Amino acid sequence: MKTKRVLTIVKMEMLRLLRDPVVLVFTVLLVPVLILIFGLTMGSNYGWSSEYTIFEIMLPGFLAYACLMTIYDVAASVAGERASGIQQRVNTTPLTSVEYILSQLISYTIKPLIQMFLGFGVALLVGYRPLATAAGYLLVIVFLVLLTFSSVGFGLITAQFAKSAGAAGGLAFIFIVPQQLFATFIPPAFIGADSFKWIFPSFYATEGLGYIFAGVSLTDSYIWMLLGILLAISAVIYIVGILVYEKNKNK
Amino acid sequence: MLSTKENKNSDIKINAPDSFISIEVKNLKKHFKGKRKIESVKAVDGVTFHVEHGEFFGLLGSNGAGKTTTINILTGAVSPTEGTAVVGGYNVRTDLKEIKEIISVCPQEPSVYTFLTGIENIQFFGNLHLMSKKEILERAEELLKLLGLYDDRKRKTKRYSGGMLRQLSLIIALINEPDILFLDEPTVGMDPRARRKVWEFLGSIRRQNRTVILTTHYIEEAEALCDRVAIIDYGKVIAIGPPKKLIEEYEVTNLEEVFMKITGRRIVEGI
Repeated sequence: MKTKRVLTIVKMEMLRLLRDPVVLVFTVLLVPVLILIFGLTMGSNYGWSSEYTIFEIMLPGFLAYACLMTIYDVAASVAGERASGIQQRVNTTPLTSVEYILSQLISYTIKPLIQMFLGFGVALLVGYRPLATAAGYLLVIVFLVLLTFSSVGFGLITAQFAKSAGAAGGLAFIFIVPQQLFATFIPPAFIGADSFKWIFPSFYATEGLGYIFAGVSLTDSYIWMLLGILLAISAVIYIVGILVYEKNKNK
Repeated sequence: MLSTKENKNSDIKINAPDSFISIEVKNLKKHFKGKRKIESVKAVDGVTFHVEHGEFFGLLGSNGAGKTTTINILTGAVSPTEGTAVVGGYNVRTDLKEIKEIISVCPQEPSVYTFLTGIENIQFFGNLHLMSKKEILERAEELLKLLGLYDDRKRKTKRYSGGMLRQLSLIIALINEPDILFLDEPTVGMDPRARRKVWEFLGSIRRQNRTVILTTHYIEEAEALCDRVAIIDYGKVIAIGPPKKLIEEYEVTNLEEVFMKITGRRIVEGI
């Protein structure tokens, strides 16, 4: 395995994030803008609870939603690269599958960090003051990275059913919208979907973040149970995604 | 001293990379499943040929004749259904890792990242071949100047014209100075002037003692550039040899007429 090849792919992925306007808007800017709007309009509105504002309840879901947009990013880029022949061209270079997968692991660890810092930064600007500790913030990052990996898996699966980047981007919302509606910033109970929420990886991330931001002790076993389930689900979805990608990468 | 190793899948001997034979293809077949998965499409149907080291070899045929599939097998993009293909002394079924170290491909589509600049695309592929930054930049400068893209190297490729993208694609294929270069219809869709420029450039590659496999359906391209051509039709090689020799043998004036004499069709008509 050659580090230079891994870092080359990581650099390319970062440039895509910054330079592709659609990717930039959907995966980087959309959620901070939503946080800004909801923070300004609902930052002092206690609609559902006497203890937390609507914005405070929704914020963990917004951060999870940012990770879900990775499904769009991965599906569109993989399908686009396949349609344009880039994937096949890259496959004729000495790049190995291990190097490619490792580069994806690094890229999709960095991306949720950027999303979290931007989203969380905007939330702090509009007055959000969570009760999390430094260790809690680290755990928040772990939750978001794991959710991102499930999203990468969903994105890779989606890309196999689309012939173009545009079609893949549209199909990606099959995986994004249910998770968004039932298990992110819209509280599931609010739309009567409480019994479905456990199906979605985003529920475990949103719930975990909510507990950490609320200042619940990190020794609480519920947080670790959520993390464990999210880890298991994400690993399965990611591995399935990689297997599907490897099987079809030359088609 | 040449070394040889036994090929597990056939009776032919595989020569070491320093052999005078760069590519050896024997009874190569690739059958794809049809739409209803019952009938199969014979994209390549028993192709046999060899390419010598430093030779500029053309695969000439209509669209859909099996040229690109043959290239895809030789570059490891698809695996053969039957037969043997040896590239640079390595078997495509078992030694893909080694093959990818010595080849480069210029695909039919330009295949570049549109959010990167021309030079960034070149650096990306140079890095995948583990070239140093200095090596990449020096080689890129030379190639960009030769093809007249130097002034546009820092522009994003989404602003390039179709012809510029194809030229960039060619530069990317040459950046790692491959022993064996595969060019899949490198000038298709180019205007005559740009095509002429690329032909001149490819002519300079001929003098570098590099093995080049070119697929094309342009008769003049094959006649102008190739030491030998294999004319492919319906996945089979129907004629092979130096263009002049084929023309003499069939008592015609160009390769188009050779193709017509054998198949009764024009190359551009497709199949």
